[in-house]
Amino acid sequence: MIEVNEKRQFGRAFATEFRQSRLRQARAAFGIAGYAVESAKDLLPTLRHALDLGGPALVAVPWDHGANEAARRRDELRASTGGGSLVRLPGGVACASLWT
Amino acid sequence: MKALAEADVVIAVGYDLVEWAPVLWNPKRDKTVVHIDSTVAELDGHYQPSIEVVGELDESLAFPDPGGRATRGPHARDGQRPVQACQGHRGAAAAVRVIADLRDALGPDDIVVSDVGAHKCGFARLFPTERPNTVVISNGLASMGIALPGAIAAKLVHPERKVVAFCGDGGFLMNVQELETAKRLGTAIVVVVLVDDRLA
Repeated sequence: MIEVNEKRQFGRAFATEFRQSRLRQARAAFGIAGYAVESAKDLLPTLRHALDLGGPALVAVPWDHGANEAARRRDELRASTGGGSLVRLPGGVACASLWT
Repeated sequence: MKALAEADVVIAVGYDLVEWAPVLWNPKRDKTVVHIDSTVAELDGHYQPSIEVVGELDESLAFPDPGGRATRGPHARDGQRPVQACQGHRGAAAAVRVIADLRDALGPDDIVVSDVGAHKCGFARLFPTERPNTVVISNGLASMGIALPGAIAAKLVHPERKVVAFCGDGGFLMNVQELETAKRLGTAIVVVVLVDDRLA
């Protein structure tokens, strides 16, 4: 939302990218369970597993804001969706920090 | 937004001025505004409702339909779930998919605290809420970082329920230190972090 608004207002975005999130190390440092969901079919089982742990857990999911916007029009979404990966990021760029 | 610009009448239900300032959609003050909320309208030069309906939203929205049968508010459409339309196409649209699976993983009394960010808009539109106070959204797009501490608090109040903090990575990182609180107190929450490596 910040990046989108900056591009709309100023024509470019500044410092909206993260490069050092390192979620795996963060959850290890705090000593809690953590899971990276890398495939759509793993999402629901991972959520259920994490909810049944009895302790705090982190579930990291790759996210495509573009798909979020597309969800405004569910009929369009239905027409455009097929199988494939959990997200389609611009230019095929993977989430560098998903679980590194 | 185009529809809003062209509208003659705007029916604002639970509308907060901070979300989309009235001056942006009613610059000429020429629209007829109907204000439906649990509180009276906030004073603003570009938001001057002709009618205010103040009260519980579900009662305010129980309009009689043309056939004379009362219809309930938008959350009670014969149990229809907005996400169902997309469930046959899992795998392509992250937002809808994640929200649908989160709903499936939780019971009707379980609690989700949504953080602020781009994901909040999709969540607010698409996540069906079945019981009061089971979805907590800090509105106004000005309180990033609420989900993790909010979920810890919800779990302390309702230890028998499952509790999820639903965050983008930006909002999550703003209060990531509270994972220590959750660990120390043994608070069984699940923090779902939507990762796109940016303040989208």
